[in-house]
Amino acid sequence: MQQPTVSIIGAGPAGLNAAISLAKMEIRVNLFEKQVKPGGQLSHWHTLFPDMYDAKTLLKSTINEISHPHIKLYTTVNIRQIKRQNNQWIISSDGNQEFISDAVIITSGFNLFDATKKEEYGYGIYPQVITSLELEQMFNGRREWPFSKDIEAPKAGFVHCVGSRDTKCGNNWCSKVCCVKAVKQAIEFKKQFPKAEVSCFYMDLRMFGKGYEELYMKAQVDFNIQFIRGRLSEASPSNGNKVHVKAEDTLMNRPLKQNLDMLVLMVGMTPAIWLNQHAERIDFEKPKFKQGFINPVENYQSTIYQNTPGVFAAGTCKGPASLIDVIQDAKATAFEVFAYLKKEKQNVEILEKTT
Amino acid sequence: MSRISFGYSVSEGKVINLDQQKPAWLEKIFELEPSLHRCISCGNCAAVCTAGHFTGMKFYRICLNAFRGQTSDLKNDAKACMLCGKCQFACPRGVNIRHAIMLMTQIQKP
Amino acid sequence: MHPFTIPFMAGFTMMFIVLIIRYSNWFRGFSTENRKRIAGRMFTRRSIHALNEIFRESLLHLKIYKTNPILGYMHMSLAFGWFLLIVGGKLETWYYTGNFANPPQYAIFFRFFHPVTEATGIHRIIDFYMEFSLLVVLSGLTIAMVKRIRKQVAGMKNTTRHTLTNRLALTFLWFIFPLRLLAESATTSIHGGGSFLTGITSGLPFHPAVELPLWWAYSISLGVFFVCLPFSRYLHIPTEMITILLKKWGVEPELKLKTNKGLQAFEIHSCSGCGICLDACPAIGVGDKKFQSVYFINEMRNGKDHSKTAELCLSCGSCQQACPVGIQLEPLRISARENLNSEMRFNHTYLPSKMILWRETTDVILFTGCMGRMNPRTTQSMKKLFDEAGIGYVHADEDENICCGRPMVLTGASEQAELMMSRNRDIIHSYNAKVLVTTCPICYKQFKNSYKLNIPVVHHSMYINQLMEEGKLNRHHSNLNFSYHDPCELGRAFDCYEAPREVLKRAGHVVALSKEKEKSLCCGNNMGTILLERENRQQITDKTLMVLSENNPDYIVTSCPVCKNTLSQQSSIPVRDIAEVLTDLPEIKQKTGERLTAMRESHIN
Repeated sequence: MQQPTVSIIGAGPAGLNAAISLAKMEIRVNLFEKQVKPGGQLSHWHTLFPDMYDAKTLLKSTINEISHPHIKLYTTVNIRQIKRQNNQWIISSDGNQEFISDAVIITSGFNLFDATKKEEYGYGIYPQVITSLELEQMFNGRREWPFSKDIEAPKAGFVHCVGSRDTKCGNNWCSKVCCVKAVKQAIEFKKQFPKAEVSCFYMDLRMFGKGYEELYMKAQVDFNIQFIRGRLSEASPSNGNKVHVKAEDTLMNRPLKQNLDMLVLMVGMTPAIWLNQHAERIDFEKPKFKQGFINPVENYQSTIYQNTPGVFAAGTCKGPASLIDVIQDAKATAFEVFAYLKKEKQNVEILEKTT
Repeated sequence: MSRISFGYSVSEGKVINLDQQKPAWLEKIFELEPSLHRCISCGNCAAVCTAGHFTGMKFYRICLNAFRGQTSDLKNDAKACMLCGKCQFACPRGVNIRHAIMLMTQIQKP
Repeated sequence: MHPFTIPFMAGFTMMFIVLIIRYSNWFRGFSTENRKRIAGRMFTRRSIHALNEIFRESLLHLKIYKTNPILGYMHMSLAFGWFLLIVGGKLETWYYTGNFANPPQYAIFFRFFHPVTEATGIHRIIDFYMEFSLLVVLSGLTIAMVKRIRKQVAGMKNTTRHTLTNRLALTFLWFIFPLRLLAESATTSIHGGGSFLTGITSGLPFHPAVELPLWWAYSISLGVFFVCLPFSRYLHIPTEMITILLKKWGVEPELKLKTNKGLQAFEIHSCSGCGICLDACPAIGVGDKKFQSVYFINEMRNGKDHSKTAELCLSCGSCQQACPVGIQLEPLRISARENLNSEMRFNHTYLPSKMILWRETTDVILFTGCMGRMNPRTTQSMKKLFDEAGIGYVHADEDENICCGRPMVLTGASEQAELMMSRNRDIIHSYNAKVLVTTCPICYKQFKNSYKLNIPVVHHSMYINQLMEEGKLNRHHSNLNFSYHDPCELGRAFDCYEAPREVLKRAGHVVALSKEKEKSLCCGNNMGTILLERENRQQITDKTLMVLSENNPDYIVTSCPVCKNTLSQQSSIPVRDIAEVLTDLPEIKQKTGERLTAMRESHIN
């Protein structure tokens, strides 16, 4: 029998790591990426929480590893549909290209919430209001700061849960990583502007991962970052190129106002694709309102997508997760795929012997 | 043996006593507007509230008080509301605030 | 007179007595103003107009016919066909006896008393006319029967269910006309005569002994139906006509809603339960409790708890627009809420009063309202447009705003909105301006109908249209496609459909939608509802977006901050306010050097 081939849809951290693991197990991989370059959301990042590890270094080393003879990378390919044929899957792209493989891993990842939907925060209206992603780009110098260079002690505010835990925009889930990401970004901002005043507006602080709580304490003690439990009502322009924010300080039981040079919206994760399952095929569609992430068959066998043998899912396409969790999930999925292929191969051999 | 009082104790009125039975009318309000249970006191309702800016009334506080059975100011706080609905629009949990307020202003205490 | 007519006569008399008692009770509930109106206008042209409307709506049912031809024909054939029979019967008896004042049963059972008619010209015509009328009624009856079994036949997605009295009345109504045909056929078959219809049916083997029992059965059916009528939904037949008269005389709803008092009593009992409001309602099929107008009215009529049906409704006005009887459903609901929430007490005395030392002079007062605070982009665009047109403005509620009062009115506490209104009025009157422009249709409705301001008030879509007509604002026609969502409080409330479309037509192309203008759906977040949960609202929004996304437009445009904010949460197509569209157009962005919002460097795929 031929060497099995696995198709991985999405070359973000999950897709890359799954591909590397499979290649190490002598399995051939077709890796598809919609964008021009692999890396997914990781390529926008400057440093990573909780250890401030350089994102570029991690990305570089990962991408170096995929230049493996077993891995074939296809960029600017948008997958539209996968179709079952006997024991194999036919993957078809927008450009009507077709690829045959023995198993499929969906690693389509997430999109960031469209902050213009929360119009009251003023994103897209006032230049001082930016998203967490734009802030990362400012950190690595790919974007200008929204305030003048003369300002030595800029005032910055971080708004948590923008497009997460919000039934109004249909995203009822917690995006998990924004809490610690805001803390990381606040620290990083303070490192660049030591005299800056930084406040975080949160609903709940969820420091669930290893080293997160410590980072939170560091932000309080070493960087004097203010944590305010309360939601913003609105951002409005104020004189001197600032934004005026109004909020409720729920712990103080008092309203609060501040003029800021920069307001960062911690945009949450939204699913990038929606799978529509037909009899023998699965269509990749744009998710509609309130359609969530891909559901695994059950939470304890989380790599298998529904009851479809040969289709696996890894990474944030299944729900918000941190980078560390995603990498581990991708590697575990690669092993599941390996086990599946081995079993399939045995079945085929038994079938060949009996006939 | 009875306990010796040293004269230092928390005054009873300041303690939230969860052992106390909640009044029937309060349970009725929760029954008529079950979405009240969704509140997580994020404060968004208070942040947008005009009536609150003038009077200090805050819906999430009203909610908290109701959860804890602290009902003395409920009706009076609710009375300041203009029913404009900004809070309900902003609420991330989808609490039917206007209806809850309408019920609270109609409380008939025994 | 023959004894078989007794059931009919007894039933008819009883109905007559009950109706007189009920109606006089309702009449007693009229206020003195309303009584004066009736007395003063009874013998004016208004009554003739009313008769015309009664003919068009109570008999021909033209409004139902326009929305749904099959359903319209069904109502028309039953009502108008029966009317033709009554008129024909009267003329027939008059002709044959030479006496106009015959008792009613004589006309109704005429064929029994005069089986053989001379086969000359005029008699043939009379016979033909009578049988043709009967055929018309029977055709409508057939549709009604089929509709009960398969509602889709009548082009209806939803239909109502009935109470016991209603079913009884319905059953005997169904019996009346087939029995009349059978009785007449039996008589014809035995005695001869008849026209084309009985000409066919009299061929059936009628034994002479069945003739009288058939006439008895016909009479009993009529009798039972008439007894049931004042207690069933068929009470709408006489009541509807009186309601039309009362409305034409300018009778107004009584202040406190009672189901057995004044105009409201007549309105509630005018509902035929046709169910047209079901298909018109944007919330049909949403939630566990059905709260459409027909159910609401049914509950009120039967004295049941109507708190849910009164308070779930979005008050979008679709049912009122569609109602063939013209029942003022929105005021009815608000009155019902007034009763339900009569214990509600608010206190707004904390609102500071404004001291006017000197009045600032400006062209326009801009009022963005509560929901405007959630839509800063609309406000910003409106200000840009004022600047572009060279209009001076003051933003009255820039820092803090007092609610216009309409949301409170919608909960039934209209008196308690007075203080808010007076504070807002003071703020508006503290400027020396030509016009008040508001970006919120909810505020617009309240300002326009209840504020009595010293300056005119316009909605911003109207104002922009006016500026464009005056040439103060100009846009080139672009190749952008817009689908326009009519806000309930602007469209159905003020028939303001054209001004916003005119504006959009100057900037691009307005695509036609399957449901628009008076039929447009509610965005789902109307302030009119008190009880509807967010999940259910979002279901409505989804349905509305399905319509708005037809033909895949470049932008969904609306002119209400609530609609915009609601739709944009769930839409995959960008949603803009009408003012934003004008400032977001490529030609403007190029001029100001701003980047296009849609092309904003974005991580969203």
